[in-house]
Amino acid sequence: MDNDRDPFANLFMRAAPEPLAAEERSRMRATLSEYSAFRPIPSRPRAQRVAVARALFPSGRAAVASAIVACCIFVSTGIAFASEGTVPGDLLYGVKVGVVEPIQTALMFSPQAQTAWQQTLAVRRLKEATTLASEGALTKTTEERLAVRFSRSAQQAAVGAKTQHAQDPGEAAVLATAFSARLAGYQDVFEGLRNRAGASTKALVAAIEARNSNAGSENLAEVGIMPVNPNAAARGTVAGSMHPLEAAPIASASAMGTSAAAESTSTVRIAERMHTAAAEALQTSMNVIALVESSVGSTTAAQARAQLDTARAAVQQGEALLVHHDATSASRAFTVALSISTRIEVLVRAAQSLKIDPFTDATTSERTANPHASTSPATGPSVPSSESTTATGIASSTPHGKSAALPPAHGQPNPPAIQGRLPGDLESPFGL
Amino acid sequence: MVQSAKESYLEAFDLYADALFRHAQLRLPSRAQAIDLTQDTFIKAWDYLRGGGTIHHWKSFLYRTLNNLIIDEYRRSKSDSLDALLEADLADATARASTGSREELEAGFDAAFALERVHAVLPQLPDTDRSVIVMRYLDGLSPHEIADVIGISENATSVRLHRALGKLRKLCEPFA
Repeated sequence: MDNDRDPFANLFMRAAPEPLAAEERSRMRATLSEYSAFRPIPSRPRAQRVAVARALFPSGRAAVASAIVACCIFVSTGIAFASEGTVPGDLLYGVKVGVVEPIQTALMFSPQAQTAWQQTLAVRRLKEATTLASEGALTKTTEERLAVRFSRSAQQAAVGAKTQHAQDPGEAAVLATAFSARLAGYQDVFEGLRNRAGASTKALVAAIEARNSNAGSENLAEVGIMPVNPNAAARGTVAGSMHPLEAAPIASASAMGTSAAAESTSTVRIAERMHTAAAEALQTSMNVIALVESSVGSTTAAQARAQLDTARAAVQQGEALLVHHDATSASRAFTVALSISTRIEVLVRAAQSLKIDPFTDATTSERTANPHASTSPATGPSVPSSESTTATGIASSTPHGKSAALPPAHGQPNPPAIQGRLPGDLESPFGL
Repeated sequence: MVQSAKESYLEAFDLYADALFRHAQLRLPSRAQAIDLTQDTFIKAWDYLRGGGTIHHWKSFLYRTLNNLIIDEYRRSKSDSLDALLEADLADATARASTGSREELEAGFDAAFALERVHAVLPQLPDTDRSVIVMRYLDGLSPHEIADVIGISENATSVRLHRALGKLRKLCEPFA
């Protein structure tokens, strides 16, 4: 093509976007060089390799096992270890995402392992963004790259979750709930960082919202939470949500074509799995708070503990429901507890690394003016509670000063009470 | 001295990385995705070599690989349905705008004005049209090379290019 005689071609050349920046180019080249060094081209022709492999490993399984061992050895040594904890901009980050993580991905065989791993990768991208934001180094370009990688992993996780749900609904419910709660926590963190210099978060928030909207069909009714006296019984119908605490996709045994007796066993098993997960998450969050209390301050720690009190109440409620053979409602209570505990863990860790107070709302007036501006897929009408205290403790009268203050959880500023049926109650909890 | 595979590979990177990246930028919604797919293109190329394949023509191989990755990306983000809608909307415009030779269509663009408009309207084209325009006028691929990349005949490539230019001109007309 002769550009001198083709003005249209010249026009397009002028319209061409900028090429790779020098740093981007050298980083990409280094990554590809590492990749090719790690995976060299075999010296023997393929046919000869196949013949040798068959002679050494008559059974294909032994060959696979050997490959797994070799990969495990690589993953556990040297470069792989050194690349852990790296973030975009670090020299070995390309090795981490281009070499180490794909190897680890290849080692995940079961749907459960694959789903959990892809969720781990997705959350890992968000953690990297948080780390960079704490250093004032989360640029728009880096943020977009992380958002793209996050979206890919989240999509892979969604695909794996569908398979896993059929095979192990209890574990699928736990993973789905914990994952959604983590994302909700990070979304809160990123939205709170919107105006902080060196912390571009718009693309990440959009990516999380896109994931939530795609995952909407998997979620059951949302529940409302507020701090209550654990010994008090609250009545009322499920209404709206404090937060996109999507209930786990509790498997319907009837949908799986099982008998009534088997259905009850399956539902109980799911509830027990959720119970274990909720209790563990609660304990983990308590431990995290205790660990970082001196860093985040007593006020933040107290507010976090207050929310965990709500989670504890939900666990106790679920345990009571289990005793009274209402496994479905118990599952929902445990889901609430797991969601709160997981989200609090994310917020408290972010509070430590980003030096923010995640429980002070700098945009209270904005949300009060438009309480239905939730970005999460609400599945029910919102009914403001007459009780105004909130699980996230909107500090409407306490300006937060210069720190990046986070908004309260998504949705309503005045979430309704946690609903739970105790013996003798007539109304069904959580809108059932 | 025979060049090693790795030397050829890295030389191909030095030669084509920027061009592939610019191509990807014009077809993808974000710069970040363009960087990722550019890197993925070279990773796939290495995997191909490692699997016993031989690459005789790096340029067409890399463009073909990138093109497939971009198509996969669109399928993943369900953009195909949007492209299809746009395709349908432009059907009438295509019929009207495809009159005249390619030279006449190209000359119809006011250079100074269209530069700005190209940036604005190019993303509005369906990817199937955008890809041939970018490959021809940005990447400098011949119709034969483009046909090789996207897997259609050279004749069909020329037709698609002609129609894509017509659509591009039609999109630019509201700004004239």
